[in-house]
Amino acid sequence: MILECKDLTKTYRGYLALSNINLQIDGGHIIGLLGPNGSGKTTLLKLIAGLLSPASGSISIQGNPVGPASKNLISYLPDHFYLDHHRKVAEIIRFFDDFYEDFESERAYDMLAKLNINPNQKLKSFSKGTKEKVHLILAMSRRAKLYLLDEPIAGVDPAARDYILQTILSNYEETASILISTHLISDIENILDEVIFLQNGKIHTHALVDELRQESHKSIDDLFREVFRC
Amino acid sequence: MLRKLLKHEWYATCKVMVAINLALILLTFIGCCILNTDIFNHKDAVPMAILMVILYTLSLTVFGISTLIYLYFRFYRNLFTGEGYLMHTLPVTPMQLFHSKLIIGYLWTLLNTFLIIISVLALTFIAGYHFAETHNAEDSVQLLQGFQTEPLDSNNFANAFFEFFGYTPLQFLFHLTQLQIIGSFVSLLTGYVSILLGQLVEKYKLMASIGFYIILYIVNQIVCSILMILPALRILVQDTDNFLRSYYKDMMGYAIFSQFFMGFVFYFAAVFLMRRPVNLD
Amino acid sequence: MTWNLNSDRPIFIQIIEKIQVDIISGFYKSGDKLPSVRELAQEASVNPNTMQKALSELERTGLVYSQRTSGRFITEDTTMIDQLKSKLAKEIVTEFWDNMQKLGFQKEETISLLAKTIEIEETTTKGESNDDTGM
Repeated sequence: MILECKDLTKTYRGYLALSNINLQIDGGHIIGLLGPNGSGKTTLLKLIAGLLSPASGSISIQGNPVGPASKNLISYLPDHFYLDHHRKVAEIIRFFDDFYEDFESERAYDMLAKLNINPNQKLKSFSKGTKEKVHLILAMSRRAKLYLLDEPIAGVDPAARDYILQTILSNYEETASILISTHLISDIENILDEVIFLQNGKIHTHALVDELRQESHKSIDDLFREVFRC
Repeated sequence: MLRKLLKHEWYATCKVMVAINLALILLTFIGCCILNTDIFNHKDAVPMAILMVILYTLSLTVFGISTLIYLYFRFYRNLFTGEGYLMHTLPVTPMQLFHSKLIIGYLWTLLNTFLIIISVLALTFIAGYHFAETHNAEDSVQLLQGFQTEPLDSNNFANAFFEFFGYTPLQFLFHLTQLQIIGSFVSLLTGYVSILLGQLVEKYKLMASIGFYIILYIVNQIVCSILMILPALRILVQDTDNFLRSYYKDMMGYAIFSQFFMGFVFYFAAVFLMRRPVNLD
Repeated sequence: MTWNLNSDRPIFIQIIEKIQVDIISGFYKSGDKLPSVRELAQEASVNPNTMQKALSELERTGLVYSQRTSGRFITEDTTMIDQLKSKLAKEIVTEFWDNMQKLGFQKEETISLLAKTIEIEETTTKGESNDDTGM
């Protein structure tokens, strides 16, 4: 098992962001983490990545508690830009290469070349969409056991979305798992094999995608709209 | 991993720190050049000279403060803003993160402190030498002799200094340097601890950090003052003749001790705060 | 090759259907080697597990067989492929007939309309190809 969350609870400035999350994820799956704004998607990913500490409950990543060992196994892509934008892409690649044993520079340079991104340019000189691609390339150039991708396609155009999905599909190892949070369900649902619906900090549904489709005769996108109708 | 963190921290801070310290060296060099000319030899030049001295002192202060502020800002930005997402997801411990910032930050503050001391000394020497040269050659010899460790018998400048402070100028300089070495460590930690304390507050973390900085600064001053009054009390009880001289002689030791003490307190406070669970917004 | 998968039906069923059609139409010939799961998954932009599930299902029906080391192959049993072909054709015709009945068509009407439509289609495509050769 790659990830296990037990009775995970997180309070945030007085309100309950996540309550009693119990979650088990095995290797080799792509799981969609879906939910309306404020349902706790980002909070859950940040807890697993080690950027937030739970109020109660536990997280284990391949048997490790959150710490240097777990961070070595996780490749995390936040939902906003987090790199020093005065740095050149090549400098950031060197930084990643230095700290992560599983980072492969050649793959990063390959993907940059395919997207015509000049690694000797500073991050701040790129458009929003290109920055997002650079961030994704860095996250996917690791041979991690667990990828946490928070809104990986939100800022890029539909044509680039396909490329990004291809990038995700072609870069993870078969024993690794990917947890993707997104609002753009229809764009991404075909690459998922499991979904988790989060509602008010609780798991509403955790099921296999094709089983949900078979039961409801609906796409995940339609099902989501139905479950979370305002 | 600490080694890698140190390397990258050094690399990331290099540009700004080298710029500040080069500017400081340049200022010293220009100061020496100006003092080597005769432009202050007229009586009319006195207001000009005073203005230059004020400007020079202000610049030194600015260099010292800007070094500290840059290091504080780097600590805050790199660990607790967007960049914190990168730093806190690296396979390193919070202690390694903290020590990389502390060690590199301290190296830069030390370098800055030394350059400031050297700058002041260089300018003082040149000014003193020129003054002695133009007025009385013997004074300049006395000035240099004053930096010997033993007080001199003859009634010269250094002896007066010794009578008043209980040190020869060289001893005084030595202790002052000691105080600066430990003091800059405390200054750096004051900022780091303030930023870490600010993280405990839920809103307005940066404003809270500034507030904590003011409080910690005052606490440091109070502790330092209390420790510096202690020798005075002891001497008062002993009722010695040379009250002031004995006081000054002991005071320096107590000041250094107070900074050692605060350094310990702040260091362990910072370690304790860094070990707390991370919660990045 | 485009996959055109809809999201409202299980993806693995659509993949099975797609590969079945590819076999019947001769895109994959009897005895051909199929691409790997990963390649097919990337081509279709679907999860490798879903592709795996579809291929396992095809294997279970016997249309595809796997050799432990060298990969997956299309069955060499051509009668099986023919059977599948007639089965799928029957399904399409049945559905068509159901729909015609819903519109109120009778048996003879339907057959003659079908014949007429095919004739028109044939002549137009013939005409087009004549034009092409006339050029």
